[in-house]
Amino acid sequence: MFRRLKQILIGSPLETAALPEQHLSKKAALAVLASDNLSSTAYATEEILLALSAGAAMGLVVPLHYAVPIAGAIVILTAIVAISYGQTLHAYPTGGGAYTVAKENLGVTAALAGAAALLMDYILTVAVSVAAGVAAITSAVPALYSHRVSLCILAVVLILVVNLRGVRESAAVFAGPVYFFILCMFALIGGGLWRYLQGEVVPPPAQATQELMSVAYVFLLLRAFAAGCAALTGVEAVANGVRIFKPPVSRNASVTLYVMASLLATMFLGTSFLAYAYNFPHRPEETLLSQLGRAIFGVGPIYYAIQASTMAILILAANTSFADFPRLCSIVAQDRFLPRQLANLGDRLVFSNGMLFLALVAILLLVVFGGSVHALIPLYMVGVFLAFTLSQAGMVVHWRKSKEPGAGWRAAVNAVGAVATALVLLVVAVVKFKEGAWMVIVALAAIMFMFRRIRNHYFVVTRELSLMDYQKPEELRHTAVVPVAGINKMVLAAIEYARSISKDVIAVHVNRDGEHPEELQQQWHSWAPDVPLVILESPYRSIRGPLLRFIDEVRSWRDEDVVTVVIPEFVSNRWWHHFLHNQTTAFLKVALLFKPHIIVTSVPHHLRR
Amino acid sequence: MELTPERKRSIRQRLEPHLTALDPDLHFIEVILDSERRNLGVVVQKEDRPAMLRLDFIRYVSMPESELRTTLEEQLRAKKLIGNSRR
Repeated sequence: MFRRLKQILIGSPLETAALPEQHLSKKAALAVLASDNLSSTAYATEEILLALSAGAAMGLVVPLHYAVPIAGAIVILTAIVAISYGQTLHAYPTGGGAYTVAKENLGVTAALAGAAALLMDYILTVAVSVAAGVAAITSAVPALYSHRVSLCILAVVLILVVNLRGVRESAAVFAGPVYFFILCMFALIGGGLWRYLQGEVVPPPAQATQELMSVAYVFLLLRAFAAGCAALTGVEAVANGVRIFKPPVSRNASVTLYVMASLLATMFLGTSFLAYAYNFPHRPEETLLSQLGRAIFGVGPIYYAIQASTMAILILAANTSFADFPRLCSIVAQDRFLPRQLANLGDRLVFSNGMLFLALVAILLLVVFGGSVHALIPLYMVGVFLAFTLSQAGMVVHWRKSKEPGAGWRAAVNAVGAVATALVLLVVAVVKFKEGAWMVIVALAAIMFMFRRIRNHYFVVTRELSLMDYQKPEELRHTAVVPVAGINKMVLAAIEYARSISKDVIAVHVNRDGEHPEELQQQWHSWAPDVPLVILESPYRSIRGPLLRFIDEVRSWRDEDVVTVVIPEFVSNRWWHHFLHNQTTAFLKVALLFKPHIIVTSVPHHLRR
Repeated sequence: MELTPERKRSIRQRLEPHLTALDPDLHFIEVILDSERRNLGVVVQKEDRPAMLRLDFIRYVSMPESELRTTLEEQLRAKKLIGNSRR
């Protein structure tokens, strides 16, 4: 039943040979990898306006048209980061982004910091974007507000299922909403500029400003800049997800990256300029895009199209994480810093385990925060800029070692990128420290510690299994213990099996009901006269306790003896039959799994009805 | 390997008085001989705690009662089924 459901939801397994067919064109990859980055234009300008408006509480008058130069500065930073990542794509066409670059050039600790930052960022992106999209739905239909957590979970599960169907399928499903959002944004900006150029809207006159160099003023501007840097989140997605491109991989990925950065710059600057031209401050009850759409097109089909596409892109920002998180996990897992299962391709040639893990953690966050994750927004900018900085700094080292022509100017570009993103990281960390940036540092340290522990475990396992000091053991002595609840076909089958592997077979029964065991003894002597039956009493009615102790005793009975516990077990042919029987066998298996020098074997008896 | 009922009975009759003397709560459960006919496993139980005492079968046959008792006592003490106070 599970297999049929899986096939309906996910589709039939794909052959490994079909992997090249799963690679995407630039157009399709843009839809998958750009949704996170482009969705930030839906709120980045608003974040700047919100930060500037906060000055009023401190008695500072900050003209809101400052949002335009701040957006301009962020666009310049975007260009620097995009060019730097373009260089990364050129040098590391196998992907991995900050992790791979830092590992090759800055060392393992820096690489782990980069990986931890990115993984955290991807998880938060899913939680935050889905919560934001669902908030848009519940704003439109307030009756759904009480179901927001369920809606968030449903959205995550839907995106998960589409992604589990494969890269091509997710690109096909999600390309429409992404391109529709781009179209709506260009319509909004085009319409707004047209009305501005026609003189239908007049920007407000410049306000008198206070002393520009006061500390509070500078802090406020920096805070607005840091808030607006939310626009950069997702720029790294192309460099991390480079493996999904069709060849020539580097070139296709670079073109996609530059197209994405250009779209972001145009949409972000356009929105910021319109906010100034139409004099729309931050209003908590209505988003900036909604205000602009209403003012430019009136409340009609175009306005609703803009609102719907914004809602869709906010939810689909999570899709970028589903593309990149599992890929990064697979690269980190190949280096044994994450469980190996994360490095395996699933039925549909995607890293299904990574996707499931991402969905689970994001759902957990959404449930814990009740579907409202505003508190998490400040957290993920720190992670993003840490990854940016490590990646750029790593590239500077890479070019310095390289003998490639143009390595000098390439190093200079990356150095500018590294310094710029490090400064933003510092600003974001300082201004958002109290809002939760400290938590990122704690979480980063915890994740890096976990990486090290996992790697250490794999190292210990490899060393223990190594053949370096292997010595062939003496001939093994073998005692088989068969736990029995009574005597029947299933038990006798297990006894026969035990006799086939050992000359020393002991049957053991735990008498927990205080019953007289004479009847069992008599039956036993009739059916298995040559196998000793040990009947243990259990005054506290536990089967597990006396049985496990007895098995321990058998293990120490003879020197260099291996004990095999042969468990008779029946297998139902209906899944619900399982619930009609007690689970002693399952508990016993789990308990014995952790005991050294004990081998557990099941002898299944398949029920016919 | 299963011993004959007579053999089992005679081993039980020999061991049970020693076990009872060491601790009246100790119960003789079963006796097993391995396929090499070297190791005798004596299964005893106190409350819900089973134990398997090990005796060299060849030596057991000619073992004096005092030595047999000491062997049982040492193993039971090592398995913490009887306390030091009984020494």
